[in-house]
Formats: sequence, C-alpha cells, structure tokens
Amino acid sequence: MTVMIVDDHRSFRHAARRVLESAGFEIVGEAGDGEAALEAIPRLRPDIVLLDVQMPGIDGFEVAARLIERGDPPLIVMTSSRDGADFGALVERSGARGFIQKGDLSGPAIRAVLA
Amino acid sequence: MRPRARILAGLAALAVVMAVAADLLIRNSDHLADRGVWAVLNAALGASFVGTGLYAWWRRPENRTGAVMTWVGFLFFLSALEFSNDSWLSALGSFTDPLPIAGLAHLVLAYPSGRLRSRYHRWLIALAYINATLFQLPGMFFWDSTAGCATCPTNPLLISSHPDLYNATAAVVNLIAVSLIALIAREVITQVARARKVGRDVYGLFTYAGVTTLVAFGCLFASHGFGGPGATAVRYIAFGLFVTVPFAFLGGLVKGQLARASAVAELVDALGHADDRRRSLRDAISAALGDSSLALAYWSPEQRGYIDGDGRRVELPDPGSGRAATPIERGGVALAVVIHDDSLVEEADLVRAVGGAAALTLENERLAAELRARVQELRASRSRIVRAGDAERRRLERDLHDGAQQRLVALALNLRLAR
Repeated sequence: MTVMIVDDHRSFRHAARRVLESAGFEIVGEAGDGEAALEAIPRLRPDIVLLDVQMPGIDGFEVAARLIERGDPPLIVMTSSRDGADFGALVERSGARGFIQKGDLSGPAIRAVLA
Repeated sequence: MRPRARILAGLAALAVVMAVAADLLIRNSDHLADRGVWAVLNAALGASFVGTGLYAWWRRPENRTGAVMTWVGFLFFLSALEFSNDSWLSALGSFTDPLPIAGLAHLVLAYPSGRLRSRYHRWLIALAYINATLFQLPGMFFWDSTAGCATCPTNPLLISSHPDLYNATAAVVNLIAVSLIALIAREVITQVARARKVGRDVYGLFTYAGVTTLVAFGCLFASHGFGGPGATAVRYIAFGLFVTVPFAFLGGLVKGQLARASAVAELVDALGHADDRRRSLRDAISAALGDSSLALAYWSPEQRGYIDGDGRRVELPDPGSGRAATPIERGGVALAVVIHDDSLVEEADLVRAVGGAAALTLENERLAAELRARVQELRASRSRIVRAGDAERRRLERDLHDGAQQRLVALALNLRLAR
C-alpha cells in the first residue's frame, strides 16, 4: 500500500518512513505542512495519509476536512505526540479512520487502525 | 415685609372684599331660590380655597399648587356674578359660572407640582377654560333669561329668543365638558397608578376628592338635558364634594409633614442599627422617601464620575426617562446622587433633607465604594498579568512540542527499529 507522510518535523518524517518501509509500505511522498499536503495528495494519490494534528498554518483536522470535502479521499490516519484522548471526539468527527500516537507508530498499528 | 408676603397679604385682602361682594350679590338676588344655602357654600368654598391656597403658597413658594388653589377660590367668588340683579353683571356671570370647575380640573391635573406636565395637559385645560367661557357665547344670543322667570334680569346679549337653538348650544358645551372631565380623570388615574407602582402614593385623599368632584360635575352636566329634582340633587352633591377638596389638601399637607418628620427620624434610627450597611442605607433612604425603585451612586473624584456600592460606574438617567437624580452635597463637595422616580422631582428639598440626614453614612459609603473600585481595578490588572503568564506557558509548550519532544519521539521509533 502507498503512504504519504504529512508532518512539520523532518526528524519524525524520517523515522516514520523507516518504520513503515520496514513494515512493507511504499512511501510515495512527504509534506511539511497542510498546504503542501493538499497540493501533493491529488497528484500522488496515496492509499494512506499519515497526518500530524499540530502543524503551523492549516492543522491536521482542517486538512482532513478539506480532503473529504473534495471527494474520493485517501484513508486518513491522524497522529500526534500527544495522547489521542487529548483530542476527544475531534478525530472521529474529522472523518479520519483512526489515531496513532507517534511513539506507537508501527506497521501492525496502521493495519489495526485500517482493519 | 418681604415682597412675597406682601403679595399674599394683598390677595387675602382682595379675597375678603370679593367674598363680601359675592355674599351681598347672593343675599340680594331676586332670582335665586336657596339664597341661604348658596351664601354658606360661597363663603365655605371660596374662603377655604383661597385660605388653604395662600397657606400652601406661603409654605412652599416653589410649588405652584397653592397659587392654583387660590385662583380657584377667586374664580368661585366671580361665579356669584350670575346671581346679580343687574342685567350686564348677570350676563357676565353666565360666563364666569362654570369657571371654578375648569379651575378645579386645572388644579387636579397639575397636582402635585402645580404645573401642567405636558402639552396635551395644557391643551386639555386651555380647552376647559375656553369651553367654560367663550363657547357659552353663541347660546347667549338666543337665550331669553326672563322666559319662565319674571324676576330674572334681562339678557342684554339676546338677539332673538330661540329656546331650541339655546338648548342645542348648551348641549354641545355640556358634551365637551363631560368629555374633558373623562379625559382629565383618565390622565390623573394613570398618574396615580404609575406612582403606586413604585410605592409612592403622593396623590392621596386630595386627588380622590378632586376627581370625585369632577365626576360629580360631569354627571351634573350630563343631567342638564333631563332637569327635574334629580338634577338639583346632583348639583348639591357636586358642590358639597367641592368643599371637601381644600380640606383634603390641607389634610394631605399635614399628613405629609408628619410622615416626613417620622421618615427622617426612622432613617436616622435605621442608620444607627445597620448590619449590612450598604443595603440598609439604600433601604432606609428608599423607605424614607417612599420610592422602592431608588438607587444610590457615589461620587468618585478619581474616576470623575459616579459609581455604585460595588465600585462600578453608574450613568445618570436622561431627562424624560422617568428617572431623575438629586445630588447630595456636604460642605459644597459632591457626595452622592439619589436616583429616584420622576415624581419625586417636586420634592427635591425632601430628597436633600433625607440625604443630609444620611450624609455621614453616605460619606463612609462613598469611601468604601471608591475602595471597591480600586480593588476591582487591581483585580483586573492581576487578571491581565495572569493572562500574560498563560500565554508565556503556551509558548514554552509549543517550543517543547516543536523541538525536544519530536526528537524524543523520532529517537524512540529509531531505537525500536534497531532492536
């Protein structure tokens, strides 16, 4: 499956790329903020978008909302260094498939969310 | 003797002369049935109105009620001209006869200040005076005063005798009079109801006596078309009620002074036993002035404006809003304002007297209110500092999120892969 990583921290994007590639995912692109992600996603058409919640400019929830509004959205997995409980129902309401805390990111975790 | 006292004494002397003249006219009238009754009514009514009027005028010169009352007394003496045996004086009397009733309407509507409050009220009273005099004129041209009354003086204004025409014009005048009385009664009742709503019954017995008398005269005018003994009875009832008006006024004056003296005494007493002083000071002043809607505001030199007991700014009421503010000063220095119902404006001296009695406590309250205003200002500035602190904390958290925390997360993920 193809994945795009959207996060404003390069160190996390690198780590996530290594984790997911080793789990058999194909990383088709990375974006450092919401604007860049919205521009790249229709072009790269990933199956999954790993989307950070807190980013400068447009935040992750807003990016998710716009993707769904456009129609034919990829599968969206929200992520943050904070606990998912901090965001309450916001994750569910954004239309994302699920949430993974950054420290717990792994291939099985992604598959579990998408299952 | 001061000029005002001289004027009042002159009016009193004139009243005596007019009373005697009216008495002579009545006693020597050839065409009056109950001379004795009318002589007594004349003396009682005229003298009591002029007497109480001059007394009220002397005691409270800034209030016009006394002057209007005196005016009604003089109108009453003038109305006796009707009983003259001289044809011209008698004809003039036909115009002055209904004037005391217009005067009474004026008195009742202008109470308690003695000034008519609105243009509408001035119109009503102007129309009442005109209806009593000028509107009688057309009928006089057709009224043969000697028809059915051999001893009556002739009508010098008579052009041709025409009883139907005379009766028709009289009916119009009566109809206007009855309508005016109804409209004036409605205005007075509205005022009484409004004053009662805030617990200020300034109107009392006088207004009730006045309105009842007006209504009795309204019935008299309405019954003119029917005549007969019923009309005579209504006439006596109406004039009998008329006599009660000045006495009701006098009673109200005395009662008001007594009530005021006891109100101030109670206020001073209440200030001595105040637990929650702020509330009870307002309550005590409110009780003393009989205005449940009353509020106090204190002068704050620092804010250059008035503040309430909690230190919040207070805007003074605009004129015409139904509320008014009376400033209380101590040694020429603004202390506080009493914000009260408009109907108390006529009694600004009472408000100031009550405020003066409470001045010391008011001064204390003013200082306390100013202190509260400062505490509030302090609290606001503290809350600004706390808000600034919050913002700083959030900035630190964001820095942490952006920097060290993310590195730690990445490190953890990498470590897991290496294992």
